[in-house]
Amino acid sequence: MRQLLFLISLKIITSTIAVGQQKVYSSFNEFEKEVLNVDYGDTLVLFNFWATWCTPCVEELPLLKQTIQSPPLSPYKLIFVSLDNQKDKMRLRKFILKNLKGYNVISLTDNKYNNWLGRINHEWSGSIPASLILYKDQKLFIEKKFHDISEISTDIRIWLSSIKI
Amino acid sequence: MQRILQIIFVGFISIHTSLAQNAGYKIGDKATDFILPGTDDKTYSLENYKDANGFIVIFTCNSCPFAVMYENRINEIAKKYKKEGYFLLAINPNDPQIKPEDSFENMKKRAKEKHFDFPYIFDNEQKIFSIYGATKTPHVFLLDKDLIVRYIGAIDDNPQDETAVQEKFLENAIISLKRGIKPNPEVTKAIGCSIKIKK
Repeated sequence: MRQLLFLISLKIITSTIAVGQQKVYSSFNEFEKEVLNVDYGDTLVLFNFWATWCTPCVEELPLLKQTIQSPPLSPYKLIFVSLDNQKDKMRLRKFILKNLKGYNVISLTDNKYNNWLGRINHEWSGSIPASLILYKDQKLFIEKKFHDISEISTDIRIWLSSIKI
Repeated sequence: MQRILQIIFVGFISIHTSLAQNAGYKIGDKATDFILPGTDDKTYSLENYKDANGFIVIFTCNSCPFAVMYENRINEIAKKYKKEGYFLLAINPNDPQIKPEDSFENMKKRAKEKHFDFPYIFDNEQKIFSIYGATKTPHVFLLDKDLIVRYIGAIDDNPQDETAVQEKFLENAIISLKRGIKPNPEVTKAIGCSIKIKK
């Protein structure tokens, strides 16, 4: 048992390196296993793919933060997935301290994009911002920037009413 | 009544997404020609290249960090393949009112500073990129001499580090065209900056 725990902790240490608050995944496979393919139960989860260098993404962040106060469905979880490069980790850390303190932020630095973008959604061309919404085993992928909070909740509510759960 | 509304909503979603996602070229489609201004104040059209074996059309810009990371590689590819009759044309699709860095004047500056060895063209009415289906910068469309789209996607598999590139998707696709075979892969994906569209 002790050996197993040791192995598990070793695994966590090798696959993710904590930078400040956020975990860093250098491999999409690990990210998929530990973040995407997790059983979130009844929680609606919104993953927002963004980067500090992406102006429309940064403009969109305040809107997404507002969804915590008025969630499209409850329970609700918001996870920011930064696609900043590994070498920009200081810039990302500073940005998080200034703008995203207290929010869930994950850093995904796997730059073999062609290997994994299609596993998020086969239609994703790779432009950001983009959001993936997860509810039970259903997924909604949105490759666009939201312009106001009502657009987020409307898109999600229309989708929820269209899926059978 | 609720059921009907639901059907309408679902219909709306699928129409909405199909418009957003299916617009633009797929492999095998014939690409449109264009008449657009270049930073050298000449006008560019594909039909002016009489003996071309193909065209490398890259939607790119000044402002996107990913486009900037690829500037030198784009220049090298342009130099290397024009000798073989494959002409590279870079088209900036962004609205400079949203991204002033992507204005025609700033394009001229960048082309000069970086000694671009290819036409740097301005999609000034923002029509061409949407016909092609470009969604981001950089976004590559490789056309054969009949303007048939043969490859869509990324330049290679490592935007950040040229020395760590394992697969040169675009160059491999050009080599396939030269051999008369289908590129493999024909479509690749990469992160890029969304195109800045006039509101």
